[in-house]
Parts: sequence; C-alpha cells; structure tokens
Amino acid sequence: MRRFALLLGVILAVGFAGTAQAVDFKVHGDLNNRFMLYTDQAGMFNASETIKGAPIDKDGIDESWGEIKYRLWVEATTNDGKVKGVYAIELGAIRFGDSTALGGSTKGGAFSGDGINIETRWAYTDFQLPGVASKARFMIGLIPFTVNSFVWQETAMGVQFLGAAGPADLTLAWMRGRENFNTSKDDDLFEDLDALLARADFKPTKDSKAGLFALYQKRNPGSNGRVAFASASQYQVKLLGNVDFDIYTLGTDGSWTIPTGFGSAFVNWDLVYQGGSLDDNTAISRDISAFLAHADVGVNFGKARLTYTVWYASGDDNSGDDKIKNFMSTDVDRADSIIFFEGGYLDDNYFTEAPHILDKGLFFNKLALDYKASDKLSVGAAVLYLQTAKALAIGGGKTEKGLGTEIDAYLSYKLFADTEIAINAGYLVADDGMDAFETVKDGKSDADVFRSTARVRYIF
Amino acid sequence: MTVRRAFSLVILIFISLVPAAPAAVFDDIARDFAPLSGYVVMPADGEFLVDLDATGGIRVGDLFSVVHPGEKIVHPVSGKVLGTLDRVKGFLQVTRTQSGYSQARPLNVKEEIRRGDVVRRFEHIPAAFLDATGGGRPIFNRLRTALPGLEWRYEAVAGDGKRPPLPEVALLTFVLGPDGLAVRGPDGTLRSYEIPGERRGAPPPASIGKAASADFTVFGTLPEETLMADFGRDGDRLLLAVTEGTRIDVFAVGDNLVPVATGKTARPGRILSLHWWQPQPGVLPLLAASVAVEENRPYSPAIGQTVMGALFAIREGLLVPIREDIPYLLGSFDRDGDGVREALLGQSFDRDTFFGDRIRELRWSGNDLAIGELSFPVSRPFVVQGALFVDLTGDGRPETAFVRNRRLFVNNETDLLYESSRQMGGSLSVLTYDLNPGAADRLFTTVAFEVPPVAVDLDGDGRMEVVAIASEGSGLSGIGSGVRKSWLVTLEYRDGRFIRGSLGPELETPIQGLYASRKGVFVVATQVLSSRLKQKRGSHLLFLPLNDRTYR
Repeated sequence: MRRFALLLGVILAVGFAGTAQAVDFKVHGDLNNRFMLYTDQAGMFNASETIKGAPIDKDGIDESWGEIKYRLWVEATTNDGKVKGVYAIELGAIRFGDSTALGGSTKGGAFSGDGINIETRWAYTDFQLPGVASKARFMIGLIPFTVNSFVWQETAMGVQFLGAAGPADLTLAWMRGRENFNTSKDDDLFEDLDALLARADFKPTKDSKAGLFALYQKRNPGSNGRVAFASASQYQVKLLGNVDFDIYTLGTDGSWTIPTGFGSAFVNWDLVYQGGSLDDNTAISRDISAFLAHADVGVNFGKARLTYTVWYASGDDNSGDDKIKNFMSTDVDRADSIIFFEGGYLDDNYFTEAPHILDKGLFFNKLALDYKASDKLSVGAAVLYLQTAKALAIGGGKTEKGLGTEIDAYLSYKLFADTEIAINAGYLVADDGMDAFETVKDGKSDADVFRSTARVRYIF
Repeated sequence: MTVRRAFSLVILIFISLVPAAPAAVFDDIARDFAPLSGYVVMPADGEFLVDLDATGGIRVGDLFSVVHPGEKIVHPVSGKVLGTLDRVKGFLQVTRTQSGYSQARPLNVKEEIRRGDVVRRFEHIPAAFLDATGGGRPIFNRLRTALPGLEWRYEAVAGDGKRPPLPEVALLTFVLGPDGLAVRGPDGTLRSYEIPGERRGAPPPASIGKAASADFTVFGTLPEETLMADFGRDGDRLLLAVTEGTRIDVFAVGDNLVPVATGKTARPGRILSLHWWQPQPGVLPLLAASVAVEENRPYSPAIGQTVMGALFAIREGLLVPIREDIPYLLGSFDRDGDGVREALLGQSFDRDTFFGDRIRELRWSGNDLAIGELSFPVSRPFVVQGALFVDLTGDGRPETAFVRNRRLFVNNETDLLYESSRQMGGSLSVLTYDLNPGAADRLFTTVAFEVPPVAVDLDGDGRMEVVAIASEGSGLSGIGSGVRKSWLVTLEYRDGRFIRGSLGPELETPIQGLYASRKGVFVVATQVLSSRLKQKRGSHLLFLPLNDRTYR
C-alpha cells in the first residue's frame, strides 16, 4: 500500500509538472467583508428585490449586521495566451450568526460555522481561434455577460464570440437564461428562454466610443403549460414566467471625452428600444413597445469629478391591456442609488436591481461630486431625485409618481495597495409614491429611509 | 580510539569537507597567470632565450608578448608616467626552463625579434573564454578583472560534452565546462581548475550598498517605491525618469544623479509605464506614460478602470502634461538603431487580452499630436510594453524582442524565432483591472508592465545582443511579482541559433529600469524592506561596469 501510494504520488507529481510546463496558473481572490452599519427599514434590505413586497414600515424596523462574501478563482492560461480556463467559487454571503437551514445543514454563520455555503461563480473556457491573427475568441460556459448596463449585465450561461472586423469589435452570443427540458415528442427546440446577441463597438474619433447592439430573446413553450402574465411582478425578462414571447432590444451606447482648458468633459449615453410580442394563458396577445434613454454629463477638474446623470425608462399605466409599454431589463445590477439600488456594499440586500420601478418605469436624476483627496482616499456625495414614469397606486385610491429625494455620501480608503475600507450612507426624504411599498397604505409617505453600509475588501 | 583523537578526526574531516573558498580559485589563477617582464637574451636554434626561469614562476607553455615600447603616456597634470603605447612584434611560448633562463619558440611574429626586446608574460595575449555551461558570465567577468593584461573575448559554445574547437585568433583559451575551467595554449592544456558548483553561473547575490562584495555599485538613491523607470538620451546627457505610481521624477545621470524635473498627471490615476520619445532631433525628448484611471462615470461600488496614455514635456524644471486621455497604451521604439527612440506607438486596451489588436503610430508636430496608421509592419502578436526592435540575426531587418507572460520572445515579421523559459521579467508595475466593469460581481485579472529589454553590442563584433531582466519568484501570484531574486540575461544570435547567457551577479530585488552601453549597465532596483509598522521599498540606481578591452 505504501509503495502504491508512493507511485501514485510520483505519477501525480510528474503529471502535474508536465501540465504546469505548458500552462500558467494565476490565483485571484476577492475577500469582501461587509456590514449593514444601520438601517431603520430592515424590511427594505433583508433580501434582494424587496420591491416585490411592502417592505417599508411606518414605525421603522432597525437592524445592523455583518457578513462575508468571499470568492476565489483560478485562471489557467497557455503560455501564448491562446487558451484560458477560469473556475471561481463563492462563499456566501453569510451573515454573522445566520443559522438558516439549507440542504440538510445550515448556512454556517452561527456557532462553529460548518455550513453549506459554497457556490460556483464562474466556470468557462476562453480560447482564440487558431489560424486567425486578429482577436477571435470564444467563451463557453458560465461567463460574465454584458449586453448593456441597463439591459443585461450579469453571469449567464452560453457561448460568446469576441472578435474584430476592420474598425469594429464584434460580440456575438447565444445565451440560455432558462431551460425547458423536453419530455415529450410534441415538445420542440424553441421552448427554452434563448437569447441571441449581435453587438459592434467602434471608435468614431480618438475621443469617442460607440456601440450598436441587437438582442433577440424568445421563449415559445407552446399553449401547453403557459401561465398568466402580470407586469407588476414580471417586470424583468428573467422574471417572466412560462409565457410565449419574442422580444427584440435595439440600442446604442457610447461615450465622448472633450478636452477643455480646466479638465476633460465627458458624455456617456444609452438609447434602447424594445419591441416584440407576448402571449400568456389568456386570449390577450400583447405587443411590446418600450424604451430607455440615459445620459451622463460630467467634467473632471483637478482631483474632482462632477457628473449629472439622468435617465428615463418608459412605464406602463395599464397592465390589463394588450400593450406592454414598460421597459424591461433582463438581469442587471444598478448601483446608482444607496437606497433604491445596489449602491450599498451588501450586494445581496437591496430594494431593486433594475433601472426601473416595477413596470412603472423611472425618471432618475443624480448630481454627484467625487473627489480623489489622495492616491488612497476618495470621497464623494450625491443628491438624487426619482419619480416613476407612470404613477404608482397608493392608498386612498390615489396614484403618485414621486419617490423622493435622496442624499448619498461615501468614503473609500486604501489601507494597503490591495485592501480597501469604505463606508457609505444614504437618506431618502420619501415622497408619497413610496406609500405603494409601505405596510400600511394610507395615501401618503409615512417614513423616510436611511441606511449605512461599510466594507473591508481584500483583492489579490 | 580516545575521545581526543576522535574529536581531532572529526575536525579534520570537517575541514576537508569544507570547500575551498571560491575566491581562492581566482587567486590561484591570478598567480599562475601573473604578468612578468623580462628581455630577449639571444636567438638559439630557431627559438629565443629569455632571462626568466622557473624560480620566477615561469613554466613550460607560458606565453609572452614581444613588445616594442612605444611613446610614454604622461599625465598632463601630475606628469606621472602612466604607461607606454607598446607595439606587439610577436609572441613566444616557453618550451624549456633552465636555471637562469628559459627557451621559447616564436608564434605569430609580425616583426623581427631581436636581442634586448622586452617580453611580457600573459600581457597583450589574445585570449578567449569559451562558456559551455550557459551561465559562465560571472566567472568570465571575474577572470577579466583578475587578468586585465589579456585581450579577452567571450563565446558561448554548445555544452554537449564534446571538446569545443578553439578560436583561431586566440592563443590562450579558457574553457568553462561542467568539470571546471581548463586553460589551453596552442599545444594543449596548460592548467585545469575545479570551480565549485555554486560559483558557476550563480554567484552570490549582491546587496545594495555593499559594493566591495558585488559587481554592481550604488550610483544613487531614487524615490522610494520606484515601480517603473526609463532611460533616454538627450544628446550627450542620459535622462532617467522614475515613478512610484503617482508622480514622475526626472534625473540627469552624470557623475551622480541630478534632479531635472518632476510632475504628475492632471487627472488622478496610477502611472504604469514610462517611455522617452524623441519625435524630432535636437529638441528635448518627450515622456510618454500609460496611466490607469477611473472611468468617466459617477462613483459606484462597481466602478471600473481604463488605461489611457499621457504625454509630458520638460519646461522650466517641471514635467508638464501636454496631452492626456490618449486612448492607447504607449510605447516608444528605436527603429533605426541609432540609440534614439523616434517612434511612438499606441496600442488599444482590450479587456480580454489587455494588449489589443489595434496599433497606431503617434506623431508630434510641435503643438499637435496626430494618431495615424503604422508606417511600417510589426510582427504579431505585438506589445508596446516590454518590447524593442533590434536586428539580432544580422539580416538587415529588425526583429521584435518582447517580454510577456514571464517569457522572452523574438519574432520576425511572420514567425516566432525564439521563446525563452519562464524566468523573464518580474516587474513591480502591475495593473489589476475588471473584465466586467460596472457589474456587481467583479471578475478581475492582472497584467504586468515589463521593463523593455535593451540592445547593445556587448562584445564589439558589430552585432547587437539583447540584455533583458530575468527573475525568480512566486509562481502562483495573482497580484505583484513576488520577486525573490533577479539578474540580467543576454541573448545573441550566433551560428544560426540564439544563445542565452547572463551578465553580472544576481540581485535580491526586482529590477525596474535598464540601460546598457559598452561602458556598463545601469539598473533601477527596488528593495522591499519590511518593518513592524510599514512595508517600505527603497530604490537605487546601480551600475555594473564592463571592461572596454573585453570587446574587440
């Protein structure tokens, strides 16, 4: 047995050494320790996408906690860079003291730890087409996928091609967001939620970038097994139930930098149109027509950057008719607001991830000032005003668009080159539109919202 | 056996096992080949008698140069006679020693040897060092220092166990092989020496400041935590630009370091690389930098970085940014081999591959920067950082030598000609960037900005060699080089193949800047010093002198 173990060890060592001669390994980590320092509306931040319920309590519910989310991944790359494999695991987020049951064990945050809390974050192979001098790479697997930051930017499974064609960079992809596994000969190949992407990026001038994209998403489960469509709960493509849809999303985005005498000014933009059709288990055949328009306008002067951000996402004021007018993101993580979006440092605890409020769209305004005090310290503040594009139903039979005025602030400091400590806070002076999300709907906003988060993050 | 005898035996065994101190070998060599002067007494039977014998250290096989003393070299200030401009008439090799005199046969006689001619043992003798180990440069350097009277040349030869052929022009050949050092004359082996294993190709590392024990000497102190440096010529002046990431300092390298200018980017960012660029002759060179900056967006926890280029000019003691937000990684190149980097190339930043496909040529017309298509072909893959153009093969067309992924590559326009083992580079200038900026789940990777190799004709044969940085460190580091030791590697093309060697001793620090001429090599070394409170990085400019008489 000892000799066999020794032989096995030699074989493994030689085998590993032989592999290592052709492959370079890199190990990366993102060790993120986060804290909800304090919030007075725990219901609004006790999970992800709490916008689906009524999370705001008139009297407020205080809470604070700590948690961790750690990632480790390995890159294995051939010495010429032509092939790369990435595998990433993720631990958490685990809250300190969390003993929630999970799969026969717990999440592992309570005494002694020892829970079930490891997931796969990314797993893909990335390779260059042989015989092609220019960039022509395929990524296959569970990949970080981006169409546009308002449309789709998240991990997803599929096949993506990244290449160059003359002056343009091309992205082509087939992604499958949800599978309908066929179990009958009457099932066809188009019952899955598939997406096809074509995107081209250009540099029209040395100071500008522009992109054009076309995204086609479809799911055709047939008449058998369809469910009802409700825009109030199915306001993102990933939330659509087993309904028949064909959605095409066309857009352009880009940026332009303009040198000035005191610093560089810049403009970022996104213009997106959505069309298509959707059929559910009713007789209504719905047409989709929605849009989103966004712009950042800003200027860098010295160590400061002043930015005004505005966007308008269309909303739907009649979810019962045959027209879907609300812009639907697919799967995104907006972080523009600490109160409404994922602007806090706890990315599993937020009101909504989407750039719109349910199916009511959003008119978003933000004026932000960021200041890099030193190479280690960054501070900033922002004032936001949000209202929906179409009115929300609040108590007393009323409707209201106004959500409120928010004030955000943050501080980020580099303890070491790879370790950051950061703290931020947001305070929402709520308008009556927030009554739509309160536990007691009385036609007026009853509570402002505050939350402050922090993190200590080590990356390598 | 008594305790005392046993203890004595242990001591003797211990002493016998302790290897001779490495310096003792070179002392023996210096003694065996020490210069001696004498005279030709008379011709005899086709040979000559000289007035030196075995009591003076003469042995059969010793080589003399027969010189005609020339004009005296007198110091213009002190009047001291420094030497004479001797003319070599020919050579003599000792065939027999007698009491009071030795007999020697003539070799390569150019002028008639007469009675009374001066003879000098092991001076003006053409000598060759054949390195069959691939790592004998340090031993070669020590020999040159120990025996300065010989006219040296270095050759790397195949270490295939066979006896290498002796160069025709050399009368004395030092052959370094796995078994040691053999010294051969025209007729055969004169001497053999055993070189301890740790001395072959891996001399002890040199410590900064301890010039007495290392070939590198400390030339000057640089700003702490220098992460990248670049040398550039401004006429006869050598300029050195260094950065610790947020500020650039420029020095003139003369007898010492003289501060010239300092500056920063207007937009906060991390400076990753520096390249001197002389777009027009006769004017101060410009300095190009690649800088990592935050994207032009309001802050969010997921904000990403991008890499831009910036251009600086020296004006009245300040380094002034004259162009920023250039949307390319920048690198300068000397295409015509005149030692001046007249071409500035920009390469697109590609998040997936970092060094993108698009390469542009930048031109400066006094007030304006123009970005256009390349006016010459470049090999693919190509990187603007860590690369140079040099004609190594002597075919009249420059190859591209570059360091990437810890390897040195040499490409011509169409093919990969050479790939080294995974030991090259190891820069402290490293960028961690997001593959998916703006996403809540950051996936990032790292890329190193390697110090470009340099091209210099080290051995005076009219063909350039490449000098590049090699290092040894952690193999699994995600960020940072983790360099434990570094050294200089040479690469030359000879007899249809690339031959790698080493230059100078090892350093226990990363090397962040490199400049070489036939007089010597400057390196910028940054040493990490850990204290209880703070990790500091001291940076120094080191100089490794190269003997001019080595290269013919």
